[in-house]
Amino acid sequence: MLRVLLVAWAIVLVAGVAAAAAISSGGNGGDAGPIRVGILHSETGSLAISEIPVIDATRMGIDDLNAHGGVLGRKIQVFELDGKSDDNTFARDARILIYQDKVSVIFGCWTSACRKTVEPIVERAHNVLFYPLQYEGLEDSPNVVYLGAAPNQQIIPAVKWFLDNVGPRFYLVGSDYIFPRAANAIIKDYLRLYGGKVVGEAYVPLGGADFTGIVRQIKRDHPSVIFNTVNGASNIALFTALHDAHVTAAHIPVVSFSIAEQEVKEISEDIGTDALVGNYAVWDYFASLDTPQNLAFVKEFHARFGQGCSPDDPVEAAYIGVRLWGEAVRDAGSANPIRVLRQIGSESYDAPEGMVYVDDENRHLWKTTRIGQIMANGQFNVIWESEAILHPVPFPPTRTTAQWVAFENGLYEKWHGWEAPPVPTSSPSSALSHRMVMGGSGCQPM
Amino acid sequence: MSTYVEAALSIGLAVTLAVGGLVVARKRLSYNALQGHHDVAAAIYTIAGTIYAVLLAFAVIIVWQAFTDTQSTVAQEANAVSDLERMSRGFPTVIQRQLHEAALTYAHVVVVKEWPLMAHGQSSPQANAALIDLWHTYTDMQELNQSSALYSESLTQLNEITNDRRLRLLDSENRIPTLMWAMLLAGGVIMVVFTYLFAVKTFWHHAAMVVMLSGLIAFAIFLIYALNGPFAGEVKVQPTPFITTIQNMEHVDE
Repeated sequence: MLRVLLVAWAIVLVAGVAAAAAISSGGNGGDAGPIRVGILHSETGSLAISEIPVIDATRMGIDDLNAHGGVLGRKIQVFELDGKSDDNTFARDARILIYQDKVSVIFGCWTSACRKTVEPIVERAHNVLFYPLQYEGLEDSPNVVYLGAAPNQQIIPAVKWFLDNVGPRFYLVGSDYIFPRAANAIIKDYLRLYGGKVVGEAYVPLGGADFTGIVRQIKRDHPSVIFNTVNGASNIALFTALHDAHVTAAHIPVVSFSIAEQEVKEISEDIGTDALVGNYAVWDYFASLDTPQNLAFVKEFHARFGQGCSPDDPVEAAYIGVRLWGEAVRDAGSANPIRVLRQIGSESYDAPEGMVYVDDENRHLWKTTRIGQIMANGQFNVIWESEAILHPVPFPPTRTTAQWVAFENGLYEKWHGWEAPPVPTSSPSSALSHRMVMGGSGCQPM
Repeated sequence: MSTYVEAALSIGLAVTLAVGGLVVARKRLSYNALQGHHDVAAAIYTIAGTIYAVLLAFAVIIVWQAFTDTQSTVAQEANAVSDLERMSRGFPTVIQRQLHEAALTYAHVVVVKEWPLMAHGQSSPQANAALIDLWHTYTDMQELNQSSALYSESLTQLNEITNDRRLRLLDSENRIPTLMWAMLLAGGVIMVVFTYLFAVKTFWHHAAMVVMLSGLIAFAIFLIYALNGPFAGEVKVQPTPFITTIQNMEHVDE
C-alpha cells in the first residue's frame, strides 16, 4: 500500500513539474529553436493602403534583429496572416497564430475595432499584442503594448493648440466607428473645459464617400477648423468634396488624425496635392524630422522599399515595437509573453522620433507630440512639438474610468460591434476603395 | 556586500597594513635612535595631527550635513506634492482628476525611475516630463479657476517642488573632490607612519596604539566614503517620504 502511495505521489510530482514547465514556457515561447512571432495586418481590402507599409516596417525591425544574431541567440521566425480589413478575419487569424503557429507575440491591427476584437483572444491566451496605431484610449489591456499616441498625446494637445492659434469654432467629421466617436467625445469635453465650441459634427460609414451634405454644412457653419477622424480611402472623397467646394486650408484648415505621409501620397496621386497642402496632421513622428536616428531610419527604409515610399507614424511605431519587444525578450531572458509583459515596462528606445519609454503601469509609450503642416512634396513641416515627452493617459480625466467604459459599452450595444452597421454603399464608394487598394503601392521591397 | 561587511573589511585591512608597517619599521629603526628625537617628533606630530584632525572632521561634517540636507529637501518636495494634491480638491472635479493624475505620476516616476538614476548623478527625462505636465495643468487652466485663492497657493507649492527637485538633482552630483580624497588618504597614511617614529619600548604597547589610531582613521574615512553621494551606496537617502505621499494619494483614489 505504501509503495502504491509513493508511486502515485511521484507521478503527481512529475506531472506537476511538467505542467509548471509548460506554463513557464508559455507553450508558445519555448526556450529552444527560433522565436515564433506573428504579423497580423491587412494585405488586402480597404485598409491595405495603410497597413502594408506597417507590415514592411515590422519585417524591417525583425530583419534588423535577425541580422544581429536574433534575440538570446535565437533567430526570429515570422508567421504572417492577412486580416483582409475585416474584424472577423482578424479574430480567426489571431487564434490561428496563437494556437496553431504558437507565436510568442502578435504585431498587428490597425483600426480600434480590430484591436478590440483581437484583444480578448490575446488576453485569454496570455499572449501579447503590440499595437502600432494612435488611438482613442479608454482601455488598458494588460496584454497589449500600445505603441501609438494615447488621447493626451495627440487629440488633446491638438485641441489646445488650434484653440489658442486658429480659433474657437470646431467642426468634427469622422468615420462611424469607435475611434472617431470616442475621439470626438474627448474633443468635446476639452472644448468645454478650454472654452471652445463645436459648431457641427458628422459621420460617414467606414468606407463611405458621400461628403456633399457635410461640406455644405461646413460652408454654412463656417468653423475655424475641421477636426478630421475619417479613416482610410474615404479621405479621398472628403478632400475632393472640400476642394470642389473651394474650402481651402487658408480658409478653413483641416486637422487630420488618420492621415500621415503614406495617405498623403495616395490621396495626392488621386486628386493632386492642392487639396491637401497647408492642412495639418497631429502625430508623434514625421518622416521629415531632422535627427540622426531618423535620417538613418529613413535611409534604411528608402533603401529597402524605394525613394517613393515614405515612413510615417504607424510605420515608425511598428518598427520601434519590434525593437522594444526584442529588448524586453533579451532583458527577461525569455520570449515567454508573460515574462515579456512583466519586463516591458522597464524598456526604452532611442527611436527615430526621439527617446520613448514604456510606461510601467499602462504599457503605453511616453512620447513627444507634434503638429505638422502638409507641404507640396507630401512631407510635413513640423510647426509645433510638446515641450517634453508626454506621459500616456489612456482615460482622459474629463470623465471617470467607469463613465468612459459605459460610453464605449453604449456604442457597442448600439452597433452590436465596434463600428456602425454598414449601410448600402453607392458604387463610387466601392470603386474608390477598390482603386485605393489597387493603386495603393504600399512599400514593396527593392 | 553590505555596508557593515565593507566597513569591517576596510578597517581590518587598514589595521593589518599599519601593524605590518610597524613590524618592518621596528626592525629597521632602533629604540635608542628613536628616543633621541622623541620630543621633536611629538611636537611635530601634535601640529600635523591637529591639521589632519581638523580636515578629517571637516570632511565628515560636510558629507553628513549634505546627507541630512538632502533628506530634508526630499521630505519638503514630497510634502509639497502632497499639499498640491490636497489643494486640488478645491478645484472643479475635472481639474481635480487631472491634478491628481499628474501629481501621482510625478511621485511614482521619481521613486521608480529617477531614484536609481540619481545614484549615478543622473536625472530621469520621465520625471522632468511629469513635472512639466504638472505645470501645464495649472498654466492651461481657464481664467475663472486661475482667479481662485487656491491657484496662487498651488503655484507656490509647484515652485517648491521644482526648486526642491533641482536641489535634489544637484545633491545627487555632490561628491568629495579627488584632491580632497588624496589629502585624506595620504594624511591618514602619514599620521599612522609617523607613529612608527616614536620610541615605545615594548612592541605590544606600540602595536596597540597603532591599531587604535589606524582603526579610528580608517573608520572616519570609511564614513566619509559611505556618506559621499547621498543617493549612492548602501547609506543613502531613501524615497520614503514620496512612498508615503503615493500611498496617501492612492488611498484617496480608492
